[in-house]
Amino acid sequence: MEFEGIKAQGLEKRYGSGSTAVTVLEDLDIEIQPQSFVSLLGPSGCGKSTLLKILGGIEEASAGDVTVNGLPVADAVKERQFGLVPQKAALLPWKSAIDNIRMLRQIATRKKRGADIDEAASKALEMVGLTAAANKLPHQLSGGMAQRVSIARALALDPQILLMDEPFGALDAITRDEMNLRLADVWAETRKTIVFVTHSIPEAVFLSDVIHVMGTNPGRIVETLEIDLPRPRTLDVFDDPTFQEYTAHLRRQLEPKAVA
Amino acid sequence: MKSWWRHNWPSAAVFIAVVAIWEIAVDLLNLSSFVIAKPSEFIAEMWTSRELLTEAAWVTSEEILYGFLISIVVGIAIAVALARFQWLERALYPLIVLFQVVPKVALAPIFILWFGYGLAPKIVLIVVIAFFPITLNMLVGLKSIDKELLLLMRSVGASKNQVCTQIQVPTSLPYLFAGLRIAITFAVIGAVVAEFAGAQDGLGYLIQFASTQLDTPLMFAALILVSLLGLVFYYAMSLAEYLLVRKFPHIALQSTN
Repeated sequence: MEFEGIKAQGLEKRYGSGSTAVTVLEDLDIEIQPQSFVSLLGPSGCGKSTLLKILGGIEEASAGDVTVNGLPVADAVKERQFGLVPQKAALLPWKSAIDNIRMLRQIATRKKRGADIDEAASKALEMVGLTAAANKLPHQLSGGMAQRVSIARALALDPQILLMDEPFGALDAITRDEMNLRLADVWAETRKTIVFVTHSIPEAVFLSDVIHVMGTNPGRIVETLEIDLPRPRTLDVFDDPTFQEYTAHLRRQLEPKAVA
Repeated sequence: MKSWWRHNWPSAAVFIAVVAIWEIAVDLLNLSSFVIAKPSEFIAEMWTSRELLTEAAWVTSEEILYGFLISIVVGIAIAVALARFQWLERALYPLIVLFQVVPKVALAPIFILWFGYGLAPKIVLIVVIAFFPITLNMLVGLKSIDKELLLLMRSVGASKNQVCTQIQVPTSLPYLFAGLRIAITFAVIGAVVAEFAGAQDGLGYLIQFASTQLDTPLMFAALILVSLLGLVFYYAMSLAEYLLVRKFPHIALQSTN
């Protein structure tokens, strides 16, 4: 069956009830094309992480529905269509890099051991360029390396969709550029559908085919922007005038509005 | 050995000084040996009564060992059950905390009444005293799971049992060992108190017996032996921890040994 992407309509997310209720997302529609790199860009507190979790079936929406490939999102979770890369690497400190990767696949597939698990894990680790660090424990890895293991852990599940929740937010600028390049390579190689949450404008423009710009109070999509820059992109693209037009436009969009 | 000495000589020096002052002060102040025994007296007593003391120490060790092992099983089982089933935690946790307010030492006579003078009431008292720090620490550990990790598990549809066995239990091990360290000293207290309440053997019984005979050197000898016993159990547990650390290295990273 052809993968049809993710469609969500009339999404709403509220926490609490009565007078203390907080509306995080309101009347939100979004469509994510298969094999595209899509960013959710917005300021802190706009609900972009919440939206990601709802799209990935990790959290339930208060109203509205999400379909993946025409199926309800809960079924897509059961069919293992999602690989999550959380904000922090969240590696088990007592397991080596490769064992961390293996374990999630074991849990996802409900299998103890198997050649396919070992193979998927080594392949994923190779894809993020960490084969040499396979047997290192998490405390022996740098922040960037830990995040790469986290990405490999998601890739080893061989999902249709990668959900990435600000995975590079805690990294320094230089490491972050390097990670963006690697991620662009991984995407080009695997052509997974990637939904990527970030609050960095250049990062979003550099990586994405489509950027959904989100606004706050309540969280909603204020603009959907297609990024028309040639691929493969290198760091030189930062100097491209079109790139700079995109970033300038997005900066104006996200600028805090002056209080009248 | 040399580096051990370099690190520990201040405490060793203080120890020797205290023993020496004790010995000399009892002589100088002309204190009766009914009131306080000199170190030289009770060390001599330890030698002359060595058979009596060894037998008593053996009985008490047995109580501590069984009591502590059962406390571990009970403590862990309760913690896992409470962490795994929220309704159970809501139902039982307040009662367990409430039970902690009961001065459990005062339960010793009741256990003697119920279970007689043998091994059983000692073990029951030890378990009642020692399971709580194990349960409490383990429970905190089981709940200290990384939120992001939990999301990750949910994203692949992991069951609660999988989250519990694969992540929560290993995560809680450093907390468990912190609890075990408290529990082992509680277990020694439990054994001695249970023997005070009613026993025919053991170091606690010997202390009480010696006190009725005004045999102060024997009291001190038994007291020293109980303390040594506590120390042996404490370090035996540290050894067990060390062996486990080799399998789960994160214990060493987090615990303050």
